[in-house]
Amino acid sequence: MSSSDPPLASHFANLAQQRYAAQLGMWLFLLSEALLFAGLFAAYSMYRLEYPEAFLLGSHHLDVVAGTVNTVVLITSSFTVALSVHFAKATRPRLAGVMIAISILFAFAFLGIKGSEYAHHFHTHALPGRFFKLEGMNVQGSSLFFTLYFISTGLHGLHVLIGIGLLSWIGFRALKGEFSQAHHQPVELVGMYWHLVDLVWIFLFPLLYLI
Amino acid sequence: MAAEDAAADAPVHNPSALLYTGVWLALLALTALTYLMHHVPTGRFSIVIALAIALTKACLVVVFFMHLRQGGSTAIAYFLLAVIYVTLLIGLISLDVVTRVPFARITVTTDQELPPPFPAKPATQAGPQERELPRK
Repeated sequence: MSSSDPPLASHFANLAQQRYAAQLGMWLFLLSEALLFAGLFAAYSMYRLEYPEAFLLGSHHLDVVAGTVNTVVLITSSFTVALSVHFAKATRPRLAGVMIAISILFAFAFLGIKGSEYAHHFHTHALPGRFFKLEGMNVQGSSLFFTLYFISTGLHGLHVLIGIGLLSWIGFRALKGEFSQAHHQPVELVGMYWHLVDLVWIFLFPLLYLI
Repeated sequence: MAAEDAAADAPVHNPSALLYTGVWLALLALTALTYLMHHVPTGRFSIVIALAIALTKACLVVVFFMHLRQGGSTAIAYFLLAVIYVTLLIGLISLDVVTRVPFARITVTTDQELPPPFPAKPATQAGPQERELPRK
């Protein structure tokens, strides 16, 4: 075993088996994440079918340009994370670290744009439940749209924050020169988590903004 | 087991940066397309078009960024299970909502029956009391 190999846990026969188990575990975890968001998407479908007019009006209140820019920002961050995995596998850990740093900047840009949208919603009282007081929108189900909007974008935003934490942890290690062709899996698994964050937004964007 | 061993023992799968750039450009093009289609009046097909574009983008991310195929047959099975579960959950709930008999549905025929969404003024707070009087 060379010094660049990852540590082998005692309950695995070899590194290949350990790598395979870790990857499969990550896919299983992402499956459970998909089901977590599926609950929200199911609630969305039900209420959209029940109150189509409220969802249409609520969606018109959202800024499509901000949503589109955020989609581009998140897709680009996914691209730089994919590149960081590519460079980690090519035993260029510092370049991988730089790519992760760029991804973190994009993640903060995403949260900044989302935060400015939230500020606008608070200003116009486009808020969930009994706090809903948006002028000129008085159809039944109006507050429900904003309840679902805040829960789904809020839960997604929480995932972005967790993703920033994970990317920072892996990015520091990469900048210190860790990771190589033999030992790249931490970058790959954190990358998979970040791609899931991107996937959820790919569906949230058309469902909330493009009605 | 053969497929799992093959996936674990395979040399490190590392596509070129050029492939990733191509996928990224495709994702940007699809985002531009969905934004442009939003401004084209397509009626009730707009959600079908938007979701079809989103599904295409999701497939690109899962296959090229997340390397689903390199995860082996069990990872692919997990992914398909996620798709099936999500489809069942959303599909059956939607079917339930659209096929309910009309009288089981909560319907509001006039604006007057709507409770005030946010009773800020004292005048609107008196509303429900006035409506309750005829019942007594």
